[in-house]
Amino acid sequence: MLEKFIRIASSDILLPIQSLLLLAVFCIGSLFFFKKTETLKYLVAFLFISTSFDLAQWITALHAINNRFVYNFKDISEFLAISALYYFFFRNSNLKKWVVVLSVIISIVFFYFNFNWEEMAGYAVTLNRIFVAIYVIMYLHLLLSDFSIENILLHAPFWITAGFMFYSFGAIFVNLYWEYGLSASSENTISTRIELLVQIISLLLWATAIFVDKSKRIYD
Amino acid sequence: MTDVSNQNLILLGTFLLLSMGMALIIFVVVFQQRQFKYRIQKQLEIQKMQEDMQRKLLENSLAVQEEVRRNVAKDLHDEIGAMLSATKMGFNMLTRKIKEDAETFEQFGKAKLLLEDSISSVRRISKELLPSTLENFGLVPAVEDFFQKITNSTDITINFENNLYAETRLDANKELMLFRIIQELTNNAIKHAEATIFEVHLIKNLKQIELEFTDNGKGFEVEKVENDPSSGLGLNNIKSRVNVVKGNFSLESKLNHGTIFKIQVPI
Repeated sequence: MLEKFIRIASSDILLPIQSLLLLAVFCIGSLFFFKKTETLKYLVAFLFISTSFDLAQWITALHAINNRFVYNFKDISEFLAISALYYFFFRNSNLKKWVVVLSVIISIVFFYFNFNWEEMAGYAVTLNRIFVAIYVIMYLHLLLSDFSIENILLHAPFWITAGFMFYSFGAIFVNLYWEYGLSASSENTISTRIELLVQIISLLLWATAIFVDKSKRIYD
Repeated sequence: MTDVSNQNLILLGTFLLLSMGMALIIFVVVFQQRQFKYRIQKQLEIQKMQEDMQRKLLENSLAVQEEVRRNVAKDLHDEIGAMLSATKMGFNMLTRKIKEDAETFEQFGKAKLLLEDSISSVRRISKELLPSTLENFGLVPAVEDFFQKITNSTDITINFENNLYAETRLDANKELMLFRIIQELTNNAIKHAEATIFEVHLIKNLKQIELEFTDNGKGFEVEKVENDPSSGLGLNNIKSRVNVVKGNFSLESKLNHGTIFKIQVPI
């Protein structure tokens, strides 16, 4: 088992780094769970889902089980957690409606058209990143008109959104070419590395959000 | 499509999207920070404008108050005072005529005394309303004159020290403001603090005039008085006057340990 782990981990050093960083950020977030704002609780919930599925991916990979269904469930669960987070961020009812509509669309695409236990739900995954990019743009637009924020660099939702910018913008093209990314000839290709790299950057930005999240004020 | 072209597409596309995303984030940060600074600046400007307006209003209201006092004082002195003096002269003439009737003469004498008291009261009130010593000779002689009257009629000891020459004249408004403050502090110390010893220092340096007024009275709880609009009226009056000339005001007080007022007024 250990040999297998080392073999998988050594196939790309970014792989264990990303997993360990995810676990670390989740642990730090959990430590501050009751001390910080509601915003952080939503972020920790998202990190909990990511960490759980990441662990499931490692276990299934170590047992040589086709774990694409885990990836699919991870993706849809993460999207729903992100939707919940932005549903909480947006106080405007129109924006909340948008969050609900996008969540419904992605659920329909995933469960009725694109789900497969053995194959990657490529369209749903790509759509997921595009919809997260829409949330990011909507939130950044809102930040521009929010006059109550004194210093945006001390505003946790800004850092969370910056993390989701990397998470979505950095993975749209990777997911658009998911078939190429999963092809046998392209093992350890640029796709995997880009995805891991943007996830690492996102995790660092979310860790920043945890540290700057001091105030009790939420986005209005 | 070949692996290489796919890789290039992914790389280029991701690079472009990430560049756009980062540009968006940087734009939001820069824009928000600028907006924030602009809002703070505007708020400060509005606050300053409001303060200036309030100060002007206060200045005008104090000027009106002084003008009314001046008019009342003049009317009292020039009209009522003159009429009373004329009445007194009439009384003097009548006194000579009614000397024969002893009873009437006695009643007349009492009425004359009452009239004399009225005349001196009118003079005193008129002088209090319009401190002619202040207008004619300046702050130090006016304060000395004011303290002299208090020490003559009470057991209060007042140590007044200053480094202003008697003939030194300041801006008329500031002289009047300082004089009114000293009057107010003295009256408060006598009426409320029941003080018996006052130390008053009036020091002029290059930039400002410092007034330090200390009494040995019963003191008070500063916060309590400041938050009570009915009892803090005198204090607010002093603060308003200091505010009009852009001065500073501070006070220290302890129950049964007296009070120290410190006022700085820019020259």
